[in-house]
Amino acid sequence: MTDQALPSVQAKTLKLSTSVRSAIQAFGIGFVFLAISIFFSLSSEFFLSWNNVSNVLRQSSINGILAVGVTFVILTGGIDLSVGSVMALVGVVAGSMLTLASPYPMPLGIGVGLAVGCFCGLVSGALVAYLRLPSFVATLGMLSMARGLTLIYTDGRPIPNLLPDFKWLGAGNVAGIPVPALILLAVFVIAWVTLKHTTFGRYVYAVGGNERAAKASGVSTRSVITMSYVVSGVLAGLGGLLLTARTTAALPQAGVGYELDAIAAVVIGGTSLSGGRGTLVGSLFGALIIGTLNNGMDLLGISSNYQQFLKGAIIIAAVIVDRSRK
Amino acid sequence: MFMFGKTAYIVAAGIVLGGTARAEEKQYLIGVNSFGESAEYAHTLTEEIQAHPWVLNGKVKIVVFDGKFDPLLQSNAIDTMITQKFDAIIMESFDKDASAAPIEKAIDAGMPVIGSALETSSEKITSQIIVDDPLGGKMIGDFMSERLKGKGNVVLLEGPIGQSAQISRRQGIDESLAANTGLKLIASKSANWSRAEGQAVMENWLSAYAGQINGVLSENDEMALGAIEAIKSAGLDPKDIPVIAIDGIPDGKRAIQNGEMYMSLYKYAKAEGQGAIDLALRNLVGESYEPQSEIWKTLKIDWAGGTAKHYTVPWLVLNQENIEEYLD
Repeated sequence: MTDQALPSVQAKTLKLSTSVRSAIQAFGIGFVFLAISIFFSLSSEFFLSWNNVSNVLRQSSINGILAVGVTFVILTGGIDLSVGSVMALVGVVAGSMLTLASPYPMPLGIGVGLAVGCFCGLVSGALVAYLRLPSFVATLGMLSMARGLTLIYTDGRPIPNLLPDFKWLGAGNVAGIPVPALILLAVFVIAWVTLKHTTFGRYVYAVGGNERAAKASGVSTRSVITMSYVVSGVLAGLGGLLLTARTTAALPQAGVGYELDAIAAVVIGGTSLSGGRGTLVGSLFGALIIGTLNNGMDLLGISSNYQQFLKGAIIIAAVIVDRSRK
Repeated sequence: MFMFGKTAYIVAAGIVLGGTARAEEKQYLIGVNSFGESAEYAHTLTEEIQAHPWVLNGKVKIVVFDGKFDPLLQSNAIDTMITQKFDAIIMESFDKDASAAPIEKAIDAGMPVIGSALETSSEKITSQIIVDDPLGGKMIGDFMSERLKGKGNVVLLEGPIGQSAQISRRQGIDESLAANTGLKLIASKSANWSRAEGQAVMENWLSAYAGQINGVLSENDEMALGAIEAIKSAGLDPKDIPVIAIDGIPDGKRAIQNGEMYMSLYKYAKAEGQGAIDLALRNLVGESYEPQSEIWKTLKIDWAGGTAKHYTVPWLVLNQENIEEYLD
């Protein structure tokens, strides 16, 4: 990037103004989230009850985890459409190893599940980075292949009777906080540190900002791109495990359309679809906004036909408000 | 490699010869226009069709087209079957109205079309054998009223709004609610037949209407199973909040067996699937054809010469008393 060429004072101001801007950006979407929460807490007495807050956290966690993964891909200027199908594939593979009847220990089932997610991400990433396929095409193909494999593997049937310990990952609480929300928190912290404080993180932004420049300055752009899909694949796998644990059965038709909610969360969070610009904090708020909207509109008893319309309209409005604050 | 190639030729020749030998004794080619093979019910239906006696003995060959919940794909499949000169079509209409035109196209091309599992609005269809969805809706409403002794607040999980099964089941539920004035519907929402969505919606309702929900009606088992998970994770006992649904899928049956689901209506896939094959064969073979599936006897459905326009498969009530008989 051009920073190095600038005199040090200028570079400092530039750095400062970027960090201020990113703070405002994060605050902007936080403000939208706050406004939506205040509105629901005024219109429904149940909204702020701990029970309900914990529901919102539980319901937003899976989408939040997916959104974190998809953020990496979108930051490199790509898109990952395969997330929902990868979730289902990981869910059934891990689920089949985690039934009451199966002999495997729980960590093995979870590990194999995450490895499947990792592998799906590796394939999509390699197709994009090494075969130069457009990410839309590569991950659209993966969407269909992963769903197909799910149906082949299960013969279209759900896998019930999962281990109680595994189900705890979806339904359990630690100190009153839902386990999926804690997992999301851990994922978020690790991902945030990775993006902010590691070379890989800086390269992700660099590749999305200007791939040629990044390559010219010695970044191995191919491996950075591949790795970002691997992150998305592994987190899709984690999401699939949690969804399976939550529904207490591995369902072959699980996760249909989840990629769209994850992408929506990232975009609401202010990440640019053309790559290079965006924050994980934004994606996290994006996921919370979607979860809060679904929950709040149920609490108010709004009919599902209106809910669909309102959700779309509010998402667009949130992005407009966020933009105008920048 | 060469050896392998040679063997492959021999095998291929065997298949060709075998094929001609069988073709001499007239094998009927019947296409199954499935509404979506990834749905557990559609899948079971296909399996039951494959288990029809004449499919097993090779007199009928079945080809399944996966409609993937898309009326357009179902319509395309019918075009394909007309081109390939199938003998008959089993039609599971994903959309009641959108299916009418393609069905009539096949009828005009001289192929009998038998409706199964899901209803079509086409008047020209050769025959239909299905359960009565509005009746099912009415039945679960009435059973809920009975269980709550005529009085209580209920919530309703619906299928995708506008889909035929949602419309007709809802119609029956509304009839029941109108008749059982003690039941009050305090919330209803579509959870798109999905377990995960049903769970989230129920969690939200349990906070919005804490302590007020006396019963849960669900237009299918999947959503009901999600609701049961929500009830359990809210620290409540599903036995106190009866959940009544429709379909009788294996997971649903297990939930009834362990007392978590109060009851469900069993949509009998064997009757809808094998019954449809019998009706198709009656059209192909002629008057001499005797129905081969056992369902006509076991469910006491009137064969009526095999030429009636409409056959209704009775709903089987699944509850804790009889569930052992129907477990797979």
